[in-house]
Amino acid sequence: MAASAPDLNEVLQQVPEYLRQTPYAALLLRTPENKRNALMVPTEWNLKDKVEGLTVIHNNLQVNYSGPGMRDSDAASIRANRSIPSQCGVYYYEITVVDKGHDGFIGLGVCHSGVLAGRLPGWEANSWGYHGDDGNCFAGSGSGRPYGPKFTTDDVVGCCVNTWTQQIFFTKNGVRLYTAFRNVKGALYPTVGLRTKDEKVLANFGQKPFQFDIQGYYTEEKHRLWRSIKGGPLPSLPTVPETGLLAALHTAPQTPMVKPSTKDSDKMYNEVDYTNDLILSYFIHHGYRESARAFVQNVLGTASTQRAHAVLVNGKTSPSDQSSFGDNANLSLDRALKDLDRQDAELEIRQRISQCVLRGDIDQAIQLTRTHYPEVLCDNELMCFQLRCQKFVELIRRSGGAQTVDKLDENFVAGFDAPSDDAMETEESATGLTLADTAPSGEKLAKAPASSEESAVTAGNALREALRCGRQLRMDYGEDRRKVVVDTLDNIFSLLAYPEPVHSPVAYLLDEQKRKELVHSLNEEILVAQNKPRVPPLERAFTQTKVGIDELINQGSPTANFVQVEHDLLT
Amino acid sequence: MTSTHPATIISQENWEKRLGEVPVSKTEINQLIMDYLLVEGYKDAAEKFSQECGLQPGEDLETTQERMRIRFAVQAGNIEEAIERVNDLNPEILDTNPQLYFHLQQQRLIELIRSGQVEEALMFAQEELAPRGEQVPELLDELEKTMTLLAFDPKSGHTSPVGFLLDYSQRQKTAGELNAAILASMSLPSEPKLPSLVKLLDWTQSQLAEKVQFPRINNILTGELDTGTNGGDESRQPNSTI
Repeated sequence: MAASAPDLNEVLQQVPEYLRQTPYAALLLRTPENKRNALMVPTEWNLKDKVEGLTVIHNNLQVNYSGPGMRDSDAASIRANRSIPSQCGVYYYEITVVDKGHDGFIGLGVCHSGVLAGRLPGWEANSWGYHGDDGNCFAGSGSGRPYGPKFTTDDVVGCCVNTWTQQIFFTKNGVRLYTAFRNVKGALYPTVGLRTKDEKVLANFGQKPFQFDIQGYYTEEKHRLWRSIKGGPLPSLPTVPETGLLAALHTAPQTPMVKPSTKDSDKMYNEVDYTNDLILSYFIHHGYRESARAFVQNVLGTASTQRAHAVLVNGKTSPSDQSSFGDNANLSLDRALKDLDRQDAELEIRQRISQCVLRGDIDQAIQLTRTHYPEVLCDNELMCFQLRCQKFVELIRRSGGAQTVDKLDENFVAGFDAPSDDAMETEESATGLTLADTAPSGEKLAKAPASSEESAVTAGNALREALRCGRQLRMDYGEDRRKVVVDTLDNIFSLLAYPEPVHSPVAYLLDEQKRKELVHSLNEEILVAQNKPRVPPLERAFTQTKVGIDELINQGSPTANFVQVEHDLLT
Repeated sequence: MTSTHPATIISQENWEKRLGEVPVSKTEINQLIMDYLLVEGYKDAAEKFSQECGLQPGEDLETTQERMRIRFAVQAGNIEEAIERVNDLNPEILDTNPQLYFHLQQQRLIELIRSGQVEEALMFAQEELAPRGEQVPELLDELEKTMTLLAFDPKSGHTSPVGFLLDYSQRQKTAGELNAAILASMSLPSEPKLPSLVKLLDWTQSQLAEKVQFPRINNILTGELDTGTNGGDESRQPNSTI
């Protein structure tokens, strides 16, 4: 069971603010409650993980020294309730010295579990600390080395663990000190240690804003990672594409073309080349036809201008080469545009089919699909089933009481552009497949051009027709035990049980959204049948990256938390 | 060299289910594309796209076109024209970017040298560039490098140690700097974000391949999931469907 929203908010409240929008926070939210604890950041001191001589108050955040405070062996440490999750990338906590007590022998840092708590942080192996009385830092040794300033009453000191670089630095009153320790490994618990009378420290595990700008540091690290990502190698292509911009630019007929081997072609391409083709296929997929055309012209135009300039300036070719270069640029533009024409024709058919479904003309949609993409309905009998079910739903819609019908039609007409068949053929539909996503263009919506089928069938006829269609479905699929089939049939037949289906519990079946969903899956099936990607590669690259980052976090990667895909790409 | 495959395997079915659950905001992707078109200066595409997807471009498209004219002017070596156009667009851009202005003038000097106008080049350097260079030592250093070009015959200048200044890439560099400044003056990013996605996908996949076996996209242009392999190029199976 998913946790309810208030619970999830509570989860986020326990996490320092700079982590709340990160993949790590998303991991916490998608982890079931019983497993979440193991992934949580430290939030308080652990009363059971300390020696005598320490009192803990203020919601387990303040630690007071109450021991004898005479010798080093009187030192007393406490660990936080959890270790630092490696997925954080950067972990940070602060303490305020409420009182330096007698001598201010106060230390903070991190250590493994099981390290002797009767010692100050850094004195034992697997323990690292920064001490207030001398400003020294200690790593597994009783003798420290000079590190930072001393700290005392009212100072705020912080400890920052970078799980990516495995380094630790401290801060004092919001100022970052340099790196104290490198190669810090293992499950690390925040720890403080006190040693003389009346010393008191109050921890902030992120419940309140920090003095130090940890968000700034996180962002700095994010940029460092991004620089290395952008500087990384470009993925190679297993095959050189035969269509698209990359093909037009790089395998254009400048020389009698010998197909470049993958290795050679790698050097010629860059991420901008890839991006251009990703955009082009996105345009084509979603039916942004004019955009696709203009884009091809812009890209090839710019590229040829640039290359012409480069040739002129660098003077590496003779003038005759230059003119033939221009011709070649034109040739590749022609080729790319012809390629678009071909795709356009195909797209137009898909758009017509989609329009049919969107206005409820299922018979026509089936007809067109059968004519142009016979394999879709043959190979995919479930698709066929869904279309027939939708036809049933559409008939019920038409039959459902005079008032209901009127209202419904209005709603539908307002929702999307539904030109009639004739209009489709004469005017260029610029909006593509996802009509309802785009702003409706006003005038066209004024009246609903009823399809021939729609006008012919009156409400009574529709009901009769619906029953016939329903019986046929029962006959063909009544024995089918597949869950999706059984459920769908149960749902759509229950429409018959209500005098006003629009106000019934199954009213969602009549929702415009259902038509859109059907358009979507039908469109996908057509694409797949033609060996085209179901989802535009650009969107696929996006979701693959998102899932990849999430999985990296699942696997405990300390680096992936610096990547916030939407944030980093969109802002 | 054989890479050891991680023990954990994520099935294609599971992975595809997760891919399907990722919310994809078309508006956000459209925005990303629109920014790309604007930054790259693909004005016609931006215009059509704006019409077809109903998204307002974040820049006046006339400005985009003008920005492109400026860029092409620099790339064609017409620096004076570029400076004039920038000042018409927004005089503050050059006023507030002395280094950029210097680089434009430096490019102008390079073009004079390229065309063999030695006297004009000398005069221009003394009058326009030297006074500015004195204020900033790094700039003076760049000026000196440029003047070194005069020591070489224009025809063999390319092969001199400072020959890179005569390359087309130097014009591109200057044009890029100017373009970025114009974009910044309109609060647009100076480089498009979309190409980073290509790099990020690759980084993510290679990081993850060290930890688990998962269906990988080996051809970003088709976006097809490749389940058989996970490691290096050597082990990649031929891709039968394109």
